[in-house]
Amino acid sequence: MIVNEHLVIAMKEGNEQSFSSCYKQLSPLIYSIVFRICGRSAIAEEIMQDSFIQAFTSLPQLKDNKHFTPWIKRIAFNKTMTHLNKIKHEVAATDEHLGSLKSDDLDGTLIHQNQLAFLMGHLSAEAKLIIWLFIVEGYSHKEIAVITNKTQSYSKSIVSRNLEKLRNIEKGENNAL
Amino acid sequence: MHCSDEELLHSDTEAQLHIESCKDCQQRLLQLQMLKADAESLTEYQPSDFAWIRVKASIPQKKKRHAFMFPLSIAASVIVTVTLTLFINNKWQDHNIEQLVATSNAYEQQLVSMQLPSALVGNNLWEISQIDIQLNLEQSKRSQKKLWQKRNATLKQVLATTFNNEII
Repeated sequence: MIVNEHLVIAMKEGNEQSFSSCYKQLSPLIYSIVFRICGRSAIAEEIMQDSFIQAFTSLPQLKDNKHFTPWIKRIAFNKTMTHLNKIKHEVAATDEHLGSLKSDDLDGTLIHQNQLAFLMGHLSAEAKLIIWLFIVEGYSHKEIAVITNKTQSYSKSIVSRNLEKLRNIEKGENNAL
Repeated sequence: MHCSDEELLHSDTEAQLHIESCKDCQQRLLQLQMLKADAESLTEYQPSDFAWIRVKASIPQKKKRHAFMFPLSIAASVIVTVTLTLFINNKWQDHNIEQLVATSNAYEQQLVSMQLPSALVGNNLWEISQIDIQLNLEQSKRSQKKLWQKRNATLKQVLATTFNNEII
């Protein structure tokens, strides 16, 4: 889903209807991504609202109107990371805990239906964000490091470890068949 | 040497050549592409209808100044022009009146120095005193100017009459 360039121009000109159209087009996408990472609807909704508010109020700063969608997504990712940093101490599950997952914990049907959903379902929020940025959004590890405020090696290890895990599960399933 | 996950997603020519010849990397690339495709098939959730209310409240209001700025600027320029004109005109009138007063004083001094008999200037003096009364009451610069001009004309006439009499 990419917001039309003309719609962005209309928003910059102050057309109130265009803001509503933009929100209708993009809010489910932004909300869904944040919800998948955070896992809480209320928080996802708040981050989504904050992202739209920031995007709408700082619209004059957007130089290329074609890039509105990736721009608002980036705002949402930054806000999600800020939220994750805030609640870090409350998160019980860590990557180390997730490393102990065994293939018998996993639903074989789900893995074939949607591997990404399966993968995301077993990760910490931060790891989900890294995986999403790398695989879906196509961010480089350098860009992820900026958003997460971690080293590139950190996101590299998260990605490679979890992809490897997924491959091993698939191999195990194939062997079992 | 196999490609890293990043090289697979953002492959350059060298990496592409390797992928073409490496089954392991091809499989890993396929997996990444499948995961990305999976993202598109994920269910999209809808935020609550109330979420829009807060966002809507923050929408920057359209600047409506274009609607009234033009007439406002015209009104402002008219006010400035009128004020400037009045100010300059006032200064000009002051300057004129000062000149007329100076002329009037000069005429009066000439008349005093002549020491004329009151019979000769009686009527004219009465007329000048009437002008002086009006000058004290008058506020308008324009009217004051006219009165000073009238006063000077009267004095000039007295002087001219006296001068002609002396010649005769």
